[in-house]
Amino acid sequence: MHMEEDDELNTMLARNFGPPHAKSAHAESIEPSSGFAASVMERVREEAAATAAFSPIQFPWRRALPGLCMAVLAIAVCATLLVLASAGLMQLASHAFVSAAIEGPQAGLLGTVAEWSQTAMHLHVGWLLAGCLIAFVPLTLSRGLIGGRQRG
Amino acid sequence: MEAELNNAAADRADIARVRAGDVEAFAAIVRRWQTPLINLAYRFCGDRGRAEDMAQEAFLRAYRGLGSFRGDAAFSTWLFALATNLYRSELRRIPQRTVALGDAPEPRDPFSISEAHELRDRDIAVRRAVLALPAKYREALLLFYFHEMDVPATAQSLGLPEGTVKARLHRGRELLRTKLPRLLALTPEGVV
Repeated sequence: MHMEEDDELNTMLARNFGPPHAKSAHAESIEPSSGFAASVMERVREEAAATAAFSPIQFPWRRALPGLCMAVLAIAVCATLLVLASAGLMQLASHAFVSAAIEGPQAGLLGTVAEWSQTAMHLHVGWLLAGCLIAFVPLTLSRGLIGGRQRG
Repeated sequence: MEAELNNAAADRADIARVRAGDVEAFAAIVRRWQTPLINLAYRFCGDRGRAEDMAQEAFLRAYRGLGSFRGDAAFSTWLFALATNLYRSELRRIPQRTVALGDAPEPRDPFSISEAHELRDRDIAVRRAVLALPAKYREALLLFYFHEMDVPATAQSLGLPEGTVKARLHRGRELLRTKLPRLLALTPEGVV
């Protein structure tokens, strides 16, 4: 009984909900209206045009390359200068410590000042500061420009 | 079977052209699949105008998503899964007009009307009863019969394991049997 019911139910459901090409399909299977495909394609073309119009702008590598090279160079110079400066300061500190230990606190202090100035001249601290300044100026300028554009 | 293979080959060629930037190649895909997609939508919503709107949206989403189609399965499988997903969410958003399962009418007096009217009456009753089922059973049944009783295809369209689909089909049929006992008792021979 249950099997017969299942067969009958299957037949009825297949007739009513089967695919449009099936022999058992119900007459109410529908054909697309005449303008359906054209209407879909119109929307697809709109979509394609919109996608093309709003595609992300390519990054201008050719224009940016000189600036990027300069930035990399500036960073490299700054890093080198910092390494040299820190090495010099460490050398200076060790000299001051040794002279203070040998000649007493007063002599040690004078000796330290003298050695500091000598080492500073030796390491061209002026040039180091100038290099840092040169690296700092374009950074500040570019930050100012970006800030101005965002405010605008 | 041969037609399916031809369709699959044509789909692959058209997809490659669309991906290469030839938007017009999508028209062939639309022409090939418009009837099945509209009919599937019609079985979900029972409204011709709405079925075309839903099918159009499905094609548009297919166009947008062509980049994500990897070609692991047939394009038709991917397209039906996408369309089913869309139709289900559309009908959750704006449900179709249905009657409650308890109110879905059976023919009042099947023996008093002609055979043609009887058949029509039975079909209307069956369709109403199916559309009045809870969504999960209704969707499983609709897709199962639309895919010519192919459980794996139904499972792929619904994005569910085959076991779950079988359980839902069983429960959906049970509900229909309780709703349509008199109709099922009437075999075609018995009606005449």
